[in-house]
Amino acid sequence: MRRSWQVAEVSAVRAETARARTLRLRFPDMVAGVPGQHVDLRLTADDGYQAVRSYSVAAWVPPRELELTVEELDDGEVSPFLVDVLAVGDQLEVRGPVGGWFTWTPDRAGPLQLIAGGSGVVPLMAMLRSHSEARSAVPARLLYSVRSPDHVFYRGELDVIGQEDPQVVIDIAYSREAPDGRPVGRLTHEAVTASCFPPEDEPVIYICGSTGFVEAVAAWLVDDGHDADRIRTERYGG
Amino acid sequence: MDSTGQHPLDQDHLDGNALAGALDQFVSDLTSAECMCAGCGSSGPLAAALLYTKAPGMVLRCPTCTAVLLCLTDQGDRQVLTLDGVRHLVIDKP
Ligand SMILES: Cc1cc2nc3c(=O)[nH]c(=O)nc-3n(C[C@H](O)[C@H](O)[C@H](O)COP(=O)(O)OP(=O)(O)OC[C@H]3O[C@@H](n4cnc5c(N)ncnc54)[C@H](O)[C@@H]3O)c2cc1C
Ligand SMILES: [Zn+2]
Repeated sequence: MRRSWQVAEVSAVRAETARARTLRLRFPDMVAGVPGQHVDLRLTADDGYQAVRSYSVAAWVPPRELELTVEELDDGEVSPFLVDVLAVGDQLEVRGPVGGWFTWTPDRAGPLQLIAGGSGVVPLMAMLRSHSEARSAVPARLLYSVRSPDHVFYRGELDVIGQEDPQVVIDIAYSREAPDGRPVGRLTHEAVTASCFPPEDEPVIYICGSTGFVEAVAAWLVDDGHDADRIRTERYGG
Repeated sequence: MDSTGQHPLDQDHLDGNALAGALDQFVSDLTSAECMCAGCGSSGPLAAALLYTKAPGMVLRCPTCTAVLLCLTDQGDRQVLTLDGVRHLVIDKP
């Protein structure tokens, strides 16, 4: 366990959408962790002003790398820099990976229900990747709420997992604009209920996204009879 | 106390997950520790409590009764962790 800030180098970048980018970071030493964890990034301006933000780990690339996916927010202080400015070879101060509660490993019992709003898909993708790599026999579902088809992260990989892994069902819900023949509109309680494992299956549930999204979805699931102890949440703010 | 509470009056908070980096320097993943609220007696992991980061320092509130559990403030080269609202923390051995 590392207890302080260390310097990592950007070793690769990849566009996910017009406003989101995956950053691969290379650490000076081995870096390992579990799906669901995040790192803190610290940026320092020329005048010494510092800003710290948290970003979930999307993928582990042993032995020394990991990937983050950052979405640019209008008027954001840090995210536009990470998405538009940072380049391969640049250095960043990083703390972590940290977090031990909003985590999933393939030995956890019960069907796996993942629910993402927007960039909240990032830590859930790490869980899904780990589920696939382990060839887990645990049934898993991802409900992913996005604004439009152009906002979907990891599109190609999600399609492959959804088609090839019989244990995994991927359900994308579109709030502003949908492909032909798909419904459009804000995610509703009914849609969440319909897409999720029922309470009697006793799924373990992970919800991640903006604070409003997470709290609304969690409340619906408790209403539906899911045990609050089986629901884990991560609020991104907003 | 659990992670599912709805707090419609404000969206201006995160949750205790985001405290993991700042607490990591004390002990490995303290955010999984079970915290009992001194105000209302409910218990749950620190990760499931509500974290306000726009106050000076970081303020963690009980998701059941919203009482302040703990505060972590930066004072130059020292940090102050106050635990006024915490009755106890149950921490797993590594
Ligand atoms: C544990 C954790 C993990 C996270 N992981 C990721 C991740 O994997 N990818 C990612 O892109 N972001 C992630 N975030 C969010 C990230 O930490 C920043 O909050 C985000 O990038 C905005 O930072 P900023 O400096 O650009 O915006 P700021 O300057 O901090 O804020 C700009 C404006 O946007 C609002 N805002 C802040 N956050 C959100 C939000 N999530 N949704 C809508 N409005 C918001 C603010 O209230 C403000 O009005 C995570 C947050 C946490 C707590
Ligand atoms: Zn309380």
